Amino acid sequence: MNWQALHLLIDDMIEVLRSERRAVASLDVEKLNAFTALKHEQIERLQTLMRDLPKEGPTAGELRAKLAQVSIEAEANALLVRDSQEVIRVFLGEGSNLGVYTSTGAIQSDSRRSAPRSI
Amino acid sequence: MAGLLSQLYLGSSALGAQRTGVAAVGHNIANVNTPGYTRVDVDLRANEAFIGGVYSQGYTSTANLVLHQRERLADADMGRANDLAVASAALEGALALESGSIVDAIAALFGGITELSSNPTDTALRAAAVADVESVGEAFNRAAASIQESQRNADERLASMARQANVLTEEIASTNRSLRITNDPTLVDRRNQAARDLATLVGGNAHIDAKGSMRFALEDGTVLVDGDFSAAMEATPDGANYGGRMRIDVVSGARRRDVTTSMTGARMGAQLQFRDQIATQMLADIDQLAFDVATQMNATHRSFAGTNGISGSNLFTAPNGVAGAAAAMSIDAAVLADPTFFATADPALGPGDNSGLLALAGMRTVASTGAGGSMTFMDEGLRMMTDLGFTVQRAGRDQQIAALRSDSLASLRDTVSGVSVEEELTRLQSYQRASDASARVLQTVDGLLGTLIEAL
Repeated sequence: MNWQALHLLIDDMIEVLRSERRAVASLDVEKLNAFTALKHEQIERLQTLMRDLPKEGPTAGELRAKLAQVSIEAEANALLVRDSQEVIRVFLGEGSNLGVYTSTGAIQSDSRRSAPRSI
Repeated sequence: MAGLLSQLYLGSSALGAQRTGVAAVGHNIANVNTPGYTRVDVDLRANEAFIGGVYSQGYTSTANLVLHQRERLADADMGRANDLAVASAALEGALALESGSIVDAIAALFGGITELSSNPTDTALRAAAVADVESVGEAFNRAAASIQESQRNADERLASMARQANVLTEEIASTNRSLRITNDPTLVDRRNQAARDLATLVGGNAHIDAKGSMRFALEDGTVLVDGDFSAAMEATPDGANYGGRMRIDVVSGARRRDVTTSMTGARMGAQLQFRDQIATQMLADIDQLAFDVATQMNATHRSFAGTNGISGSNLFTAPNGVAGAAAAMSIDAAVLADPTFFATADPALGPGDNSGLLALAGMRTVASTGAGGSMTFMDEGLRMMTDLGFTVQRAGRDQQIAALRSDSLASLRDTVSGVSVEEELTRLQSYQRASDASARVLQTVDGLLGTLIEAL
């Protein structure tokens, strides 16, 4: 029974994450707030179901694949949220830390920093 | 008529600039008490097409620059993941499917030895076991050849990509030149597309300087394009430093910089990682396994005698060392020419004894004693294939993430291009708070999923 509930919850999580991505892309505050609340609930349910999960289940392989998909969706969303925050920072006058050249030609980014080089 | 239109344009662009300026001032006043706030300056530029005019770059333009940079990062990640997945999957296929794997060949050899142990003097079973030994050597040869071929393929792709990159850097430089003369937005789009394509190939980043020219630099800061200038990428075989593999240089006139080891992102970074890390490690592991199989089975084989009564012979040709052991692995020439050399018996007990065969068959379940080994020969072979499979899987996952991100960035750009800061300031600030909360929840989701996947 717990396995079936877990499958349903994971399916819901995938759907919510996909919808959340659309909300991020359209800067939809209301939806983003609603999805955040929904994800809180889903996390609590996930924790409860995990606690009661038996060691073995008939659909563990399928569940693992679904969980991997949730992980992909969540990571894509996390990157997109960072992207959109960067854009909004620019809009709100807080500057961007991405792709800025210093006076010596070094480029700065949030993930890759490098020293200037000339050939 | 043309003069009148110019005057009208002049007036409208100046009005637009003033409106943006007023909005920026209002924005700055509204945020006077906001911690960490940096005031907004309107970027008023002389309008070169109309003497005396000014225009405003505006917020949207700046945000679009940020989005373009994000899109280039996503493209580079996607290109990297895609090339890594394709190259690794091709090697996985060559090692596992097309030619019969090393693990299959070793398993078949142990099976043949066990069968022969039931009747050590049976010539048909003996010939079959000798053929199994030969097959193990051939499987190692094919595996080594497949890996080396995959490295040559990576080199060919690198050379091709370097040529493509040169076309793109020249295009960006020439567009920079044209954009100094004309403010044609189609040229800007073309330059952006060229920069995206270039980022997909080489990674790095682009920036628009104060004059409106794009500069493009690699991850280590090596400049590929700066204004009118474009450097060339060259792929040339280098025996001294890269074992004859392609070395990647950025060349400008007489100056040359080796960027082979510093290119880690995008498609070229993926090819280099595959060639110099994944395939190289795979070849080293297979060489080690070939060396261990040959030396350890030889040691056991030498302790027993063939049906010709002769002991002390090798089963495989003795390897000269670990490096190159897989490519050189072969059945011992004497055993191949005369299967009665296949050692099956205790020399004291005569040709009907099978203790030599039992000792060889017992190695199937015993951990290797070589430098590579805490596992059996077959488990070690499986471990290598599993590692390669994980690489393919991880690259596929990264590819999916980058594709989802890239698609949504295009939607985000559409959204941003219609945003008016003056009208939507409050909503944008709310969005910032909401996305902060969402980011925290996403971190929690990922953490929980990691725990759950491990538990399953």
